[in-house]
Amino acid sequence: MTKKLYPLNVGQMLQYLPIKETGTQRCCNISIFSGLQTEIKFGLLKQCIEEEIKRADCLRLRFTAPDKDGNVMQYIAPNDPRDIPFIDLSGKSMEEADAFLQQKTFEEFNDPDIPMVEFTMVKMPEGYNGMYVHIDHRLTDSSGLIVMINDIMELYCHYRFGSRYPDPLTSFEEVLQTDLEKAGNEKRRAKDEKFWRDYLTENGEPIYSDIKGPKILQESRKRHKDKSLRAADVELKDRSVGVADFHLEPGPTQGLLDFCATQGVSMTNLILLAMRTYLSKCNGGQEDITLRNFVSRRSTHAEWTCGGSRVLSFPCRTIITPDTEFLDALYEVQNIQNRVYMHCNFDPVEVDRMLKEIYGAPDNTEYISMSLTYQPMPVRMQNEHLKGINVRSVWYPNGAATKRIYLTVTHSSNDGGMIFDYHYQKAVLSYEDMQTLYYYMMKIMFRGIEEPDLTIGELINTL
Amino acid sequence: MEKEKQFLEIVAKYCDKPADELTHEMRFREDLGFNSLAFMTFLGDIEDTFDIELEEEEALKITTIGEALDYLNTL
Repeated sequence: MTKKLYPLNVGQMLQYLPIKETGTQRCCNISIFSGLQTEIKFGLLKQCIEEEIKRADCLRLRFTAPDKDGNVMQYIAPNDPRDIPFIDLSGKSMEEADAFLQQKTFEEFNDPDIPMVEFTMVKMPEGYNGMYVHIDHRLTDSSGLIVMINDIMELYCHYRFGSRYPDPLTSFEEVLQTDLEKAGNEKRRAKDEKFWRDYLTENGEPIYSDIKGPKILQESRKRHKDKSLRAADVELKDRSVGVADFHLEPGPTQGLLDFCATQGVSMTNLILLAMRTYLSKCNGGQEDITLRNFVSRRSTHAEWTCGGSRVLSFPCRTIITPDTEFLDALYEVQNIQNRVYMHCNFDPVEVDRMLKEIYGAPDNTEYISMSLTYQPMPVRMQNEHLKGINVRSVWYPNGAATKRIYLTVTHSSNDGGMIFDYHYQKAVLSYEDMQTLYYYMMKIMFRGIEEPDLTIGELINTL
Repeated sequence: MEKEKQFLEIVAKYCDKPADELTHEMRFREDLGFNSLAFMTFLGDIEDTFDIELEEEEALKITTIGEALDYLNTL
């Protein structure tokens, strides 16, 4: 039977680009352990994982060998039987067990026409039992993966406890067809392209900012012998990643959520404001700050349950004067984000290409040092048979940092608090830098929500 | 009526509620769970489906299905 081949959608393309640039598939891997602190019937879990591979067609996605330009096509294998191995790490310490799974995360899916996901059932220390999933980011993003893990556990509860059989998942292939059709809508494309060109030019060339202060840009200016350079060099040689995780307790988290609900703003925008305010502080009160925001483009029910990689990222540029009150600054961030969201079907690689074409920054330079992704949905076992059981979810970094600082904010599976997970390039930044960044971000957010009419200038002065 | 039906079917895709259960009083954010991203992509869908141009500022003031339909009828 002939395979039906599709090009990558824009979200998948965004994930594929670093593979083309770095020559390693590893930078496109995501891996998670998700387990419960209770006994699990592994034979049944295996059956549920096998069933999930049938239910979620994105798990059967494969890629052709690259053509002469390095581009690949994708197709869905009709069936994908494979072994679901089991490993027992319960005799190790939690640190050792995590190190073992971390090492597995570095394994690459290099060949064409092979399955791009591996499930492993794992018995972890401290009584946690569950699964480790190692998957190419083009098959799913973290939101899609969480939906699938939750679905596997729903299947498990159905067969073990007789709870309701979960609703079918949406076909990835059908949503992909819709995505590709939308991408081919010339009128929409023209509208989006106009928006992005206006957005990139309305305030002139952006300027780089860094938590290490203006010296980073100064160094690049010296290196390029260009005193007016506004973009800084990207670290290319050493992309090894450092990880710094911080947990915000449920009480303070609720305070932030309540503030957002009362003011009608999103948590993403509050966090973006904290990041840009800290960058402003570190750069002598710089008013013009650009961040990168990653969003999982999942709005409809079909998009939520189809898997696939729907993460896109766009620059979020704000120019906020010191006399702007905190709440007004938050609305400014929100207004920018809303405008961007309306045009976020556009290819982000194309946006970067336009930026380069307009301002001609040298190769391998960037205006942005910090990226954010906010993931509001935790791995949470909703089923009543699993309520009250501790959940452990650990995302393992793939070891390749393509961004200087990449902050992922998630909600804890257990206590409703928030986890601030900073991935940073170890060659240029340290764990202590992330500690400081987290400390100030918290200070900015809590001072701001306590006194929303405080100006940004006054707020920075109190830090 | 056809326009309203088509509009409600788009809303239903976003909130996982059957179109015939949607009422004019329902608020997009509070009652139907739209977040900013969903609301803005929804507006993009409306533009593409009805081949219209929305005024973003005006569209952002809309809170209920009824208001959205009224606005749609003015275009």
